Amino acid sequence: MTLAELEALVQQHVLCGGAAPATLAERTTARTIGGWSVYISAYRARLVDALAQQFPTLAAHLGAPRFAEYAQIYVSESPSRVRSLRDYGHGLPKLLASIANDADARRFAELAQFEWWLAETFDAAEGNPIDIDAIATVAPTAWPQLTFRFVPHVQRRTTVTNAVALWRALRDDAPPPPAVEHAPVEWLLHRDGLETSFRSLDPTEADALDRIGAGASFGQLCEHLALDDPDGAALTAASFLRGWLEAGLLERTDAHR
Amino acid sequence: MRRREGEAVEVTAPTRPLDRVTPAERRAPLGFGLGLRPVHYEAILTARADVDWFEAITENYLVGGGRPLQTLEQIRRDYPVVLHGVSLSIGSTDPLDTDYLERVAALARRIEPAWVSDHLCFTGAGGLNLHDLLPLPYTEEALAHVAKRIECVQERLQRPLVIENVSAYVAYSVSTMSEWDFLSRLVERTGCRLLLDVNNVYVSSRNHGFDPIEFLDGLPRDAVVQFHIAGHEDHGTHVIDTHDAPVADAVWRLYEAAIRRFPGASTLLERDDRIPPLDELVEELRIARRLAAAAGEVSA
Repeated sequence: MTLAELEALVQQHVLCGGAAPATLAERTTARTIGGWSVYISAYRARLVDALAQQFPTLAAHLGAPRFAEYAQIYVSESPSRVRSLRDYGHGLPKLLASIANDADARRFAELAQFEWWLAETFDAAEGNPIDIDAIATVAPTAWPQLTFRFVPHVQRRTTVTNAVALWRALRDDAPPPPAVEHAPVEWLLHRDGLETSFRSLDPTEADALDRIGAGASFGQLCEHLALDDPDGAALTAASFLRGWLEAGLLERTDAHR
Repeated sequence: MRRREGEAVEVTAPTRPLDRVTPAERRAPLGFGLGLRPVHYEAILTARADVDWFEAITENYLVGGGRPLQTLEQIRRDYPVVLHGVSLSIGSTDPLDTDYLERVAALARRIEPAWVSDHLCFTGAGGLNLHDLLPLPYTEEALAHVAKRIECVQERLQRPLVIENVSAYVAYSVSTMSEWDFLSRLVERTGCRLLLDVNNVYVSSRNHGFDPIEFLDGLPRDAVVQFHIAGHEDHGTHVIDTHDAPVADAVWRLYEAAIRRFPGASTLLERDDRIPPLDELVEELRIARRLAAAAGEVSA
């Protein structure tokens, strides 16, 4: 048996548990055959514990036994392919959403997703946010050509339940509100210094921010806003941009930066 | 577990490759350190702790930015830091994960650790990671495989890799050499250095019935740059490496033997569960200081 075959056999046994297959047992010293159980029990416990640390609000909301039930399903269906345990839970929200069969379950699936988004923003790179004083020196004729992208910690997200209200209630030790499904609510997540921050966006700002994040120039944003508000478009666009720059959301991508 | 791009980091620990450090300098180790855990960040940043250095878990800081990476950089300004990995999987027959290695190399450039360590084990196969330190068979095939991979890693990191012995709950009848012979031959072939986990030696010696002193005596004196000491759980029939309790008396006794055999190695106290306040660990670390001082007097 090659080293590769032995490693595959060991891994299969740790993942599946039960009695060691004869091909493995005969290659293990008699004194320590029972030792596989240490690895088998530690494997699931470690991953469930890691998920509880990645989704502390969800775990608190569901309670440890119910959270562990869902975590065990995830562990069974999604063995880890990541190097750091902190990255392991990325697929849990999707799994929860796929098996959700009522409003409450759809909300806690979204709560998990919201926690994951917060963690992604918490850990993301700083990027090179635009210095608002420096951009003030750009010639007025050059403004229409300015283009931007989000710094790495910025996320634009949408929710369709009151999961964020639930998250806030759990954070504040307040009674959880009843589960509600509603029209899409747009969110901006980003970091303010080292603090993770989020706020809801009105549909006009959300659309404008998405366009800028997708590479539209400032001039194109003004043209788009002018479709609904020909007189106020430039002022609205400038106001949005100032707010985004003050929050450190954007990097420049145009050639003359 | 990390950051801020472009921020200058004051270098206070040795940055030359270990193989260019003179024997005299090797006698001036980092001293007595603690595993860096987020629960202690505030205490460490608030007041100078009686700790000579910290060991950071590499994977916790392989991120783009944010508070943990910045905290590590802050701590690095005041203390030497070692990067200790758990996912290199040096014994796996999967291809080396070059993306992971590049991220480790980038972190090392940013933090300037005294050295970079990981474990003699495999953590998975076929692209999976079981996030456990699974033991290898000690065979010629495994030795050639691991040696080749250590050389690749050292080339990529541009520094010697420091390899740690793991706790094992199984052993392979197909092994053709002892764990200490395997480690010694790795040192001979690759120039890697060793992190001797004294608790792991004790745990494995109890589980597999070997003499832990024979393990220590079997390692090359100059290769051991660091010790780990930690607590374990004794189940009578077997012992589990839990890192959730103070160091056991039997491990302290083995540590005394280790510091006599490897006087140039730095000591690191680990705690990963039931983590007490920093002061309590600093107090436990003083036991190591006293034992090392006593051993020094005996040697003199």
